[in-house]
Amino acid sequence: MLGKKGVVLSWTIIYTPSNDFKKSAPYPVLLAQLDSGEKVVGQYVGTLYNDLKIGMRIRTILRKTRITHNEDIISYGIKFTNEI
Amino acid sequence: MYGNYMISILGYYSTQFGELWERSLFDLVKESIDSLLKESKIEKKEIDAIFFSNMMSGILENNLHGSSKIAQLLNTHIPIFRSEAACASGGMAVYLAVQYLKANPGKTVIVVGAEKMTDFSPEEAVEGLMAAASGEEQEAGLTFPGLYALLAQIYLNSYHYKHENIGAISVKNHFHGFLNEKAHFKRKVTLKQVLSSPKIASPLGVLDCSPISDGASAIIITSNTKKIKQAKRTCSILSSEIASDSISFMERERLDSLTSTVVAGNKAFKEAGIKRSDIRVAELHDCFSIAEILGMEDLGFWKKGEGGKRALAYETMLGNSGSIIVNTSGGLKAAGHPIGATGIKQVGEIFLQLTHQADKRQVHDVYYGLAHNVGGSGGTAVVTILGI
Repeated sequence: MLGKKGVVLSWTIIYTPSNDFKKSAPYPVLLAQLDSGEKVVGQYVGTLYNDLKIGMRIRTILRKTRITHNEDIISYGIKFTNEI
Repeated sequence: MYGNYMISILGYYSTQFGELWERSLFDLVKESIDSLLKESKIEKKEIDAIFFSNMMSGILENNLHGSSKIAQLLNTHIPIFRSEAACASGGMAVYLAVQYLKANPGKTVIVVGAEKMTDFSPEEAVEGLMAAASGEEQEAGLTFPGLYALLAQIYLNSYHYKHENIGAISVKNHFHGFLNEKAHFKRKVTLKQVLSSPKIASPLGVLDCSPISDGASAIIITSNTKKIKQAKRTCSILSSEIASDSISFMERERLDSLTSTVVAGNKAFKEAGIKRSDIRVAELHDCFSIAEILGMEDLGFWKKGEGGKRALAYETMLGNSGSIIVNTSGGLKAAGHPIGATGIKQVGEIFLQLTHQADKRQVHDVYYGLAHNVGGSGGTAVVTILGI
């Protein structure tokens, strides 16, 4: 799943999250379609935070996803950044 | 009409919807059942079964097996069933009660739904609600406003609309809520206020979103011909249909439509044997402003893509000349959205309209009405059509 390229189908910025994501809010979440055709949802961590738009190119990267408790296993998952 | 016999609603009662901090979940259930029986002049012993709708008590209060709690409150041994399908729990309970009555002619049941949400922080409520979404969506930090924001962005982009085209839905529903004594928000809002309200999940602001509410609603449904004949005010359930879809919308073919609504709607109209244009009043699932527009299109009242324009023309607002008036209760947006109660309140509001008990919200010359209840981001949809 890493290093896959694709396109933004939709996006939003979450201001009111659940507990596990409270520290990151506000954060952008994308619905993207990879070039393989698969659809994926994940957060965006690139530099175009204020300039997100449908049709923008992205690639998948590995990042920490959520923090439940300080002593829990750290969760990693897919996020998106700019294609290049 | 099911075969040779009718299934009819004999009464409806809702508690106040809102922030009811001094009341527990089962205080609300008890009030709704006791008041429903009293107002409908029906004895407890005439009830053969109860269908109870609730989503969150297991998650938020460690409180499951509510059916047995209701048995204790009512001191009864009749069968009591619980229905859970996220925000469509209430619609599903109505559907199941109708199925029960089809299998058991001559019986009478109560359908009661309740939710207690405002004792918890927004984060706790958001997390509990997200139990009804897919693991991938939870892991991405999405929320229900976030999921509907993704649908809204696609809709606005595909059909070249602006936020005002969906925000107008909230203005209309708050106007209706202003006329409903039981509504969580009995006040009007302007389009300017909706557009400038603080963002929850962009483009949706807080005034695009239904609130977190407490409340309970209950109806009595019967297949007992004698009771139907004796009833002063009654209307028939012509059809109640349910459809499902994948929990994750990434797996779905279309992202500008909820297929479960399309399927349930088509089945419900076919079973009822009436046309879209026969419906003069409807309660649609407006958990977010965009949701009512998708609902109007998916149910076939509006053509796909027309919704933004027609919403901004306020065609479905009381007093306007549109052929159908939508969400006279105030909808989820202004009447409030105590999850388990919502689907039952929707059917109850249509009952009030068809029996001319809707007071200042009354739509004239109504013979048929429809209630549309959605669970999750479209994983479940229930459509119920009533007639007199």
